[in-house]
Amino acid sequence: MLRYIAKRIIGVIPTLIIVVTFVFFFVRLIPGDPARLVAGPQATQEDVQVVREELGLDKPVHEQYITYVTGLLKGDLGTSLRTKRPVAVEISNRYANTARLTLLALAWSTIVGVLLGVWSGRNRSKWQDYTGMTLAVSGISLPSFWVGFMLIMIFSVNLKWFPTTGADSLKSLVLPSVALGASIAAIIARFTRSSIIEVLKDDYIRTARAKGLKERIVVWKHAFRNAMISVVTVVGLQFGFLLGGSVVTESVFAFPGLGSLLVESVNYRDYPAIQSLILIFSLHFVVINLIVDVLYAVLNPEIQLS
Amino acid sequence: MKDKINTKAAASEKTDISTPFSEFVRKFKKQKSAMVALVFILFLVVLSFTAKFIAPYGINDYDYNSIMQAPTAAHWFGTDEFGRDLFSRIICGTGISLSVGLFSVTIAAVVGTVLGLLGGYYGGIIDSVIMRICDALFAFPGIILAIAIVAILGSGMTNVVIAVAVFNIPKFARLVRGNTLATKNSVFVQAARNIGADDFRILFWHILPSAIPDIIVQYSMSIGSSILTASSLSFLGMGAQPPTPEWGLLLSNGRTYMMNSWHITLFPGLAIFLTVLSFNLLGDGLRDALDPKLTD
Amino acid sequence: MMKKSKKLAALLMAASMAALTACGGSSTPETTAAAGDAPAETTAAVELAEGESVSQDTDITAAMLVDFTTMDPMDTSDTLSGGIQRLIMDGLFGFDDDMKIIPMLATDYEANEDATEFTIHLREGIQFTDGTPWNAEAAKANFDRWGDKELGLKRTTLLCNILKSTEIVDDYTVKVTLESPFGAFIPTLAHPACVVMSPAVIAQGNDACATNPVGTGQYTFVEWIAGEHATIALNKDWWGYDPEICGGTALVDADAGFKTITFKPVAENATRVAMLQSGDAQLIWPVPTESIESLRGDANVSVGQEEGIVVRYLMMNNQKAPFNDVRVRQAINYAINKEAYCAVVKNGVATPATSIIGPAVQYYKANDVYPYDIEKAKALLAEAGYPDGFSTSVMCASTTSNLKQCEFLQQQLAQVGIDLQINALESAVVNQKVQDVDVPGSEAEVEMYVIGWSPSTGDADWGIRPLMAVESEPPMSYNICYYENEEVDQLLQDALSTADDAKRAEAYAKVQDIIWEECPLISLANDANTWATSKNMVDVKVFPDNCINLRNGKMSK
Repeated sequence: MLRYIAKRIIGVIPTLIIVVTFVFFFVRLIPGDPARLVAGPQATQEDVQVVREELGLDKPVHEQYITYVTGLLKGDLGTSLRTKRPVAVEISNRYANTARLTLLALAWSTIVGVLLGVWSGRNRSKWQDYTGMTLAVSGISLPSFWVGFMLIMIFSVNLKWFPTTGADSLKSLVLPSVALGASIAAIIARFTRSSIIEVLKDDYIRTARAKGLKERIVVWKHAFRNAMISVVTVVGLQFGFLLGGSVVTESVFAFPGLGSLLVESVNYRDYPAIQSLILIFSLHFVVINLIVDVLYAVLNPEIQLS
Repeated sequence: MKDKINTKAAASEKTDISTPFSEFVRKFKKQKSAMVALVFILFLVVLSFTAKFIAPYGINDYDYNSIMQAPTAAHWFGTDEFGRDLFSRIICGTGISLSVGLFSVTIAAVVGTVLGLLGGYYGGIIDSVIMRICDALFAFPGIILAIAIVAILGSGMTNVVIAVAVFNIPKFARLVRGNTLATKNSVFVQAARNIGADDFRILFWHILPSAIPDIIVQYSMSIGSSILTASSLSFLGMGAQPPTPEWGLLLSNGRTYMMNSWHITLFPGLAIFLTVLSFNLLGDGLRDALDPKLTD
Repeated sequence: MMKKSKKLAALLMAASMAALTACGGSSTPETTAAAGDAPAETTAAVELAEGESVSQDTDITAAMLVDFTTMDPMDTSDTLSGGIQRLIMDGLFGFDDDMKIIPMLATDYEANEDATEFTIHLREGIQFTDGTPWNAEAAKANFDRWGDKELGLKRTTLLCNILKSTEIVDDYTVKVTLESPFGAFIPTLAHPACVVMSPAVIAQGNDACATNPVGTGQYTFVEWIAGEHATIALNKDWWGYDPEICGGTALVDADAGFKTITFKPVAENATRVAMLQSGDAQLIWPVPTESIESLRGDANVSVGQEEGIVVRYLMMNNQKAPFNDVRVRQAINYAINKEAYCAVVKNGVATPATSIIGPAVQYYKANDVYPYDIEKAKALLAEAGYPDGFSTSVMCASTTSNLKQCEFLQQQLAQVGIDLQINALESAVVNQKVQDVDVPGSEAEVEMYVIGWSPSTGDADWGIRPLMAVESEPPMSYNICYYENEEVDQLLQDALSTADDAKRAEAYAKVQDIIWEECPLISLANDANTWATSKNMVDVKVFPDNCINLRNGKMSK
């Protein structure tokens, strides 16, 4: 098992190297000159050149790359071109916000999704199933920004139950986390449903039923546990989606998180910030998948560890 | 794609031999919601070709004297900020939104399938390179990758299609690779190899067909999510350019009018919702019909 | 001596920036009436009796389109950051509600004949919020910073080549010597970049200035978390509340000001409007024109509107065919229905433009709006050799309002056979393709371009020269039309080098006539400035240049 984990961790390294390199050159392909944006609209070309030198953007790209990677290895994410403060500081301001939002969204969507999925799955082809799955399919068929605006219109403008924006209280996290988690809940529900259906057909469930166990116990104690193994994988995969989805949701709710920071940084061609943000997104995704894989291996000893 | 399934289905009914395919058709027909979805999608396909002729107004017929009107007998869905007929714009936008979904996912499916086959079959360094790149692509949250691609290539429908295609590639590559790994040592592949079939033949005649059901399901589901992604790009100002009546653009342009003119966002929103819903339901139905484990 | 210098001062004011004085023009009956169907009184719906305001005990939230960029005035090039800095720090001179220059931390000044030496008298009895006294020493510290070429900030060039030295005459008098005559010195000191910082902060260097500003202002800086919010708190000891220090009348009412103001960046228009409607924000800036109608209908919201000085243009690259033919440019002007533009694109919150500059700008001269006449447009196009029209493209930054404008123009031009492609790009890309170009106009990529411009000095010079002079072609400034007319250039120069009001007016009138006739660009509309607040807020408005003006803001229960 340890060898498997070690192997997986080592396997992550090339992925990260590709991401780092890819992003570095990718952002420099985007048209738009950061030096011009830093220098301001009325700056002369000489001024822009001065700024370019100051920012080290006049050096050959491979030199910049080496500087960047060396910095990274030392744990230095660079300095934001926009705010002239260390990127690490800029990001840490926003990180906690996005983490709270994402975890809240993931938490409610997992609970709701699993419950809905089990409910539909154990009542396959009955009205419960149709209701549950109609809800779930609807959840993944709506543009998230539309859902966001609808929530604002209904719950903050008309009913005044929740604030429109903000990241300071649990109350202010409700609407964005609903908008963000809606499609995840739907995906988890669908997945749970099929896992449950699959598991309920297994021999040991038949045995359990034959033993005269109550259906509730059969479903929750036996089927549920086994179905969860595959649901864990899906939840892990969705985390990456959540981070990405936060770009749109954060824009709608003017939420001060990593997603909106990324959009701002792209608009400003803030290379160090873009690089660091994408690295962080990827790192999370990779690490969470690693954890999921390991969990999966632990939960399901049948999997081949090769 | 849909047409093909349908004509084949019709053909197999006539023959009345229980092939895996007729089995599939039998099961698929039992999925009522999927059947409805399929009919709706076919309707959309027909609509996208005929919209020009049946639309009561042109997509750019503005009328500054009847701006933002709520639905009337003359304008079923009301009018937009230039007094254009929203109904006409939405039905004329059908083809655009559908083709974004179809083209981007088709590109992704073809490229992803080939990569997955190669990686899974040959293994070793090819596999490592392909899978690491896929991991890296996967590690980018999809919409961010799309934003980056559109930022580099510029906005516009073609670039949106490319962007959405790229972020769909790893899904197909992983799926097909997994399938290939599972089937490459199976008896029938071994047999094919023994009788001297070359790699190309084995890959595309023996391994690929076993992956087709999964690919079809993924294909259908991805179309829905691609249409949504395209609309998100429009929301972020990186999608279709006006006056293109792409639904995502209609929806995102209408957002500032949500408070006073409900119809401006409701109808494009519904159009997107119903279309994506149909592709998802179709995908569900296909999966249920294709997956032997889920049968009763 | 005193008398004489005062007279000169008045003259200088008139000569260089009298514009600012004229900004009061927006309150003349005609211009207000022209501002559209909603008169400025909308805001005055609630009148507050003396002492009824509870605003000094109220925390308010203001939702703004963008985030602040810095707290260092010398590094600020955006109106919004300038707006919050003006609340924390006062300048030696400043603006009143109509953008007339008023003395702030200075009381008066004298200048020598050739405008190279300015003796500035400082207001007494004022302290920075960190306790440092405001005196000649503090003034010198600021002048020295402004004159520091090594500073390398966005606004350094404003004064660094002008200031030579600053001498302390006595505790409350400084004498500033300039490198060369500069009649616009005092108005420049009223520029938002020249607000005064505590010498203690200046001593700590640029980083401290950018993150922790300390001034003498009505508010003190509390915190700024980029992307999240910036908060300022009321400084009840502000000298502006003290009639004695102000020399008789206090600058603002005793009950004006808010306990704290939290500015939140909310880029999404619909969300900003929702915040105001839900009560999560008491003030939004700017108000999306699409939402004005529904906000007017909201009983909890108060909407104000006043004529501003922003003009919207459709620019054409005059060095490129077919726009190098004046008939084509005029044809396009005839083909665009400006009334419809104001009604459809601007939702009625604008009026058709009658010159390259707005009526409130000094030396404005009205011309007749080109009538909407498709036949004439077609005839002119045919005459120019384009009977069937042509294809061209308009470049713009991809914002909702720009796209709406371009879509409208596309519809209008299609009627005379001109096929207009919309090329909407990210603003960073637009910058690169339009602004950062160092080639002759004939080789520039831009064909048509939409832009809005307001001379933040209120002067005709700054309203015309950056858009029309040869020296202003990219990358230097915004002559994206690549308009080259020697006569216009000469007239602009003449107007700058005379102090004679009549002569300046004559020159600018002629310039405006030529531009109107030759149509290097099409002046579409004068924007009206709008603001929206919660119903119980009064006297919150915007300056003519659309910068928020909260100084006298009050709130009822």
